[in-house]
Amino acid sequence: MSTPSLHTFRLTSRLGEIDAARRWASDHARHAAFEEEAVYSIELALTEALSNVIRHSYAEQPNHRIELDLTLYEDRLRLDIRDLGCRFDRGSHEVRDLDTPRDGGYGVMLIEMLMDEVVRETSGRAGNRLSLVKYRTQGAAHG
Amino acid sequence: MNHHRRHENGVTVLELEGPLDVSQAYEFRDLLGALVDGPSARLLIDLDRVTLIDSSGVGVLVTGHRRAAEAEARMVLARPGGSVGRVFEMTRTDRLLRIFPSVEEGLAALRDE
Repeated sequence: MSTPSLHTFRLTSRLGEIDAARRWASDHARHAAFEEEAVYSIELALTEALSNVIRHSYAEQPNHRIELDLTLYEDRLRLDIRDLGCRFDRGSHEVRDLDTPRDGGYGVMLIEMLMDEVVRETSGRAGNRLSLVKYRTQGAAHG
Repeated sequence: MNHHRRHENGVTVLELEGPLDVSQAYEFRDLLGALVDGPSARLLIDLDRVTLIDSSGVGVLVTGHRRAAEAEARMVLARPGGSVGRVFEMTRTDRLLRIFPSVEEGLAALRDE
């Protein structure tokens, strides 16, 4: 069994920085031979997570720190997203009625549909930690 | 996201390229609003070169669809790739938005109305 490899990325709370973070994550996933569908899921889930951090935890105030850790295991990829903003209340961002199309609010639901494991933690007086895990499809080549 | 606009038989064809995500959502919302601002407006959005769409991008399209309906304009989408189409399915917005597999079919639908 190989040792997990850890990669880090730091960004500030600006929507324009999401693209660079997304490309960083997808480059690692592709390099580790994750299938394209899984890479897309990781890209989209990370986009939604960062969008929530910047718009809700940091209320769109720029220059706050966001830390990303990406860990590659033999069978999975794990993304940890940490911020020091307001605590995220999952319940207030939940779409309950999918039969009535809305202008927004799908982010949390998409993250949970796209990833295999989603763990949300709050710590101390402020801040959030979101862990997202995507497993390799059975039979896919390992990087 | 880049966009290119052309006109074809009374229809504005808006070709989008790149990710359609939260970082461009406000700009895209304003652009869409201006393109469906009256009963004679006919808009086809070509998604063939959209590499990713997030919930904000979907939200802007839902808003555009509603604004078009209010203004008695017409708006259709064409050629979502597999990954983009999947997001419409997951959010069930494929039941509301008018999505066609080709530009020709989208144009024909607008022409026949």
